[in-house]
This record gives sequence, C-alpha cells and structure tokens, in this order.
Amino acid sequence: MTDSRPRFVELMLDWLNGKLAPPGVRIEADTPLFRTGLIDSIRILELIAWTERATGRLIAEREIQMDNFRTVARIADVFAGSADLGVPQSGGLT
Amino acid sequence: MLTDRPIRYSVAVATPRETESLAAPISTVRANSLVPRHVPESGASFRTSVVWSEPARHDWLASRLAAKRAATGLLKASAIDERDIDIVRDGRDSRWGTQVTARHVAGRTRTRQLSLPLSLSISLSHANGHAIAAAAHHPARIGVDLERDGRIASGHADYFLAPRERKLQHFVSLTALWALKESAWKALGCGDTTPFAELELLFDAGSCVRAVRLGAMVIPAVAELRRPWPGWVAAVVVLNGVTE
Repeated sequence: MTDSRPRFVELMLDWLNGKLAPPGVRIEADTPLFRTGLIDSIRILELIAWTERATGRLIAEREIQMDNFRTVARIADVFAGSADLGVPQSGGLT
Repeated sequence: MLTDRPIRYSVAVATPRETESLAAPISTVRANSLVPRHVPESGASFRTSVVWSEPARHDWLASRLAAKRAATGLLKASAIDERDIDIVRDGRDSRWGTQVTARHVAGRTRTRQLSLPLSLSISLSHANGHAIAAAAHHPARIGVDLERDGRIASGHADYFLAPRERKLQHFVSLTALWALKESAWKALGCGDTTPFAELELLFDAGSCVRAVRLGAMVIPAVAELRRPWPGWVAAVVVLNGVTE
C-alpha cells in the first residue's frame, strides 16, 4: 500500500498529541520521543501495542528496541513502510 | 524482597516538597546557573535540548538532591560532607537521559574550586518531582528506576518479559518487573539498538534476582524493590565487576 506511511504518521501523531504529549508541547514526526524525557520510556509499550493494531501484525522480539521507536518517522519507516495498514479512516486507535 | 545485599550500595530519595525552596522560579534563573534554559511557548513544537519546564526543573533538582544523598551515604566512612559533593553531567543516553558522576569539592576560593573525581557508579530516576538515586563503588555498576505502579496493561507483558520472567507476574507487579529490567539496563549501559529480549533477569527458587543475562553473557547481580511512597515502585540492580 503506497500511501500507508503518511496515513500511519498522521494517525500516530494525532494519538500521541491527544494522549501522551505534555501540555504545551506538539509532537511532530521527527520529534525525539524518549531522548529528552518527553515521554517516559515505559510508554514504549503503548507505542508497540498501537503500532501492532495499526499495522495488523505482531512486532517481532528482535524489533522491540528503543531505536525503532525513537521518533514517529522512525516507527513509520520500520513498521509501516510495507504494511497493509489496518488503521481506520478516522479516529484513533486508543 | 528480592535479594540479600552482598554488594555495598546506597539509595536515597527526594520529594517535591524538598525542592520547592531550593531555587527561584525558572523565569528568574540566570543563563549560567545550574538550572538551565526556558519553557516552550504554548503549542510550540518540541525541540531537543532547549526545553526546560517547571516540572522538569523540579525533577532535575530532586534527582540531584537524591544523588548527593546517595553518594554521601556511601561515603559515610570518609566523612565527606554532602555540600562538598558535586553531581555533574557525564553524558546523555536516549533511553534514560543524563548520566551523572560525582566529584568531591576539595577546596574553594572565591573564583575557583578544586574538584576530585569520586570512583562511584551513580544512577538516578525521577518523575513528577519525586526522585531516587543509587550509588555504588566502582567496579560495581548500579541502575535504579522509579515508576508509578500499575502503569502496564497485562497484555503488554510479552513486549518486555522473557518467558521465564513472565512466571514472576504472580509475585511481582508488571511495573515492578519493568523497573527491575530498566535498572539492569541502566547498570549495563545497554544501547538503544539492543532488543529488549536480549536482557533477561535470572531468578532463583525464592524469586530473588541472582544474575542478569545479556545475550550469551551472564553477570551476577543483586536487586531490590522498594516502595518509597504509596503508589510508587522503585528498583535497584547492582552488578559487580562488569568491565567494558
């Protein structure tokens, strides 16, 4: 699906900014999520679960590493590039 | 609950109430003071290394206060005063933030101070103005993590626990297990490209941590869980004699 990545990024940003971003902060695709403490490292578990639901596939153990979740762009590169996304046309995947 | 303590280490905490009077509000802080930088405007995009909010400042202060206390506690026999211990930045990692080390301020003049490095492994963790820090003498390496309890959904256990670790869910909460693994991660200094599955806590029959496995390497360890305040869980993991 050629247009799956932009849609994935858009939906993940909506979800992150609605649920996890601190007040007054807007997360963008290239915003470091963990490096500056913007998001607690424990929140990676929610990112993994969201990504699995969005892509409709289980993430392999070897892919669960902080580097693959450092930004929304990175998550999309690793997991949404060739995925047949199961993301809804509207709304989040909360 | 988890282990006895064959390795000497020190743990200390700090609370928001203790940091409230430690520094002026952020708007009055000078650029070259210990408390850096500025708050982003509302709605502004987050940019690395320039953001400093009031909650972050309290976290920073609390973590340094706890680190000073942990170092002082460990150095009790040497009678170094807490005021003569500097906690200084020693690098930064994308997973757990700033790495720190400790120095002993051996002498001061009006314009200079003489600081000597202390051979300590220090780890700190903070959230919502609360902080915990732990210190151990090198070559031991220590890691600490502080979390609000009950933050992990049961369906997320498989993302970070090895099959053998999952059996511990009957005895230890998922958040506590996360804190233990995060502490081991810090103590080992694992990088961001290390898969979570590479690191495993090895427990004995009494559910005590006895070692940490990283890939094919097994390192003897001691670990401890604490509940420093209601609703919080903290973990400390100490590895003895790990070399680079």
